[in-house]
Amino acid sequence: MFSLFQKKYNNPALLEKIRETQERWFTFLGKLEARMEEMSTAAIPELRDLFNQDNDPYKRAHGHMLQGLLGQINQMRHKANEAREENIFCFVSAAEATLPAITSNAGQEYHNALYAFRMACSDRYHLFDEKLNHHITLLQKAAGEQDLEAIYREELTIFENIRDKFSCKQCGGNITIPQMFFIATYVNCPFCKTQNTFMPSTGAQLVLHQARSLAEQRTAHLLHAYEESVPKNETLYKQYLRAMFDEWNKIVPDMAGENEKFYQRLLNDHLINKLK
Amino acid sequence: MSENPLLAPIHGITLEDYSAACAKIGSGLSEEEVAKALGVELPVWQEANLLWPERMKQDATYHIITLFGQYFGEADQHPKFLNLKPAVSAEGTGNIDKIKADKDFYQELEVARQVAYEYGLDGAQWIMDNYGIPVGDFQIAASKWSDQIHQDIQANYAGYNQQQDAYRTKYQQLFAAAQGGNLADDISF
Repeated sequence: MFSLFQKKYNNPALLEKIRETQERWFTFLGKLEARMEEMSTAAIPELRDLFNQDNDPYKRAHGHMLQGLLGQINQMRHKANEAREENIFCFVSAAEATLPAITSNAGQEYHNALYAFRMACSDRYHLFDEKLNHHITLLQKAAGEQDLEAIYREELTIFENIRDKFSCKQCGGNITIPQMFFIATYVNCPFCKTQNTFMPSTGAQLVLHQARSLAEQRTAHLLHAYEESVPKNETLYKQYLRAMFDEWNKIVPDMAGENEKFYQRLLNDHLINKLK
Repeated sequence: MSENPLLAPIHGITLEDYSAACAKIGSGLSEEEVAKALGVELPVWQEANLLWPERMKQDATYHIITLFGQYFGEADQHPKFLNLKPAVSAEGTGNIDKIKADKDFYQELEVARQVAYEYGLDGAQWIMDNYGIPVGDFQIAASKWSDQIHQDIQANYAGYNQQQDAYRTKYQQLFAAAQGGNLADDISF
């Protein structure tokens, strides 16, 4: 009587379906990876050229192209996720429902086969996901960093060349702009004391907006030293933050007072986060 | 008058003034027009425009930036800007009114904007080109609907996601078709 419960479950068609589905899954992901590779290989030099040739200080054309490429990679991720849901997860659930209970010996071989199938498909997906993230990083870093130091130096030179070429709107007397301004600023005529409005160039206005990024570029080695420290050396972080703000203040001295308050806030935030 | 020193006006420009001015610049007014509406000269406006964001950076409680968002969304009611409107087409005017009155219209265009970016387009410009809605008015609508959308999500999370997915699919198909399809359209399981 008990031999009825020990009867071996036999379903070779299921084993074949498992084998076939796994093969299709691996092939499918392999094709997506090949397409991704093809796209990255073609796009990276184009991204670099576009970035270098684009005169727009915000590099919007490059940004849009990058967004489009990342969107395509996300489409591939979405496609793989949908296929995984429909063809792997659903298949496993449906197949398991047809098997004898996992607690019985009958069908154990099939439960094991399904488990191995699920693990193999999952591992292959993670490999795909790693490759996908690798390509995202490659595309994001393709253009490198904008040389903000060179842009800043160029603006300083331009300013030196024009700073004494202004005249008073009232008396026509020569006005020398005392320092590089980044926003519209009142400048008094040294002769008749009339208040003139100095309008900085677009390039000079941009210096203000890029000042923090430039200061970060100048002090990136200090941040790197902190990030590499194990355990995290808080003294190194404080050195970095102080140096970064010092550089920022050198670029836009008029903002030093405001920057100092922001420095204190970032320092406090960092300490609070460390205590959490 | 608030006791918070970070809320003190800068050169007479209050946070309400500043927030509304930012919204109006985003809707197409020039800095000169905004300065004039506030009754100050350009250098005064530009300094305030420099210092209000500094106040936000210094405020660890995020109170200033929260109020900024609130006042930004109320820019259309600010008395100093009531009679000052940028030149907009008739269709644009209709859509600007609609996006502030029709939550579903806003939600659909918000998804369209995001998907446009994913397809390498300038999403904000796409909205402007196709609906005549400037980024400032779009953000005013975003601010206006924010709380209600948050409540919708809490009340019916699945329904909200379903609607978002439907919009997303619609615009993915639209932008993909305009570009000759997605790169992996020919690959199937």
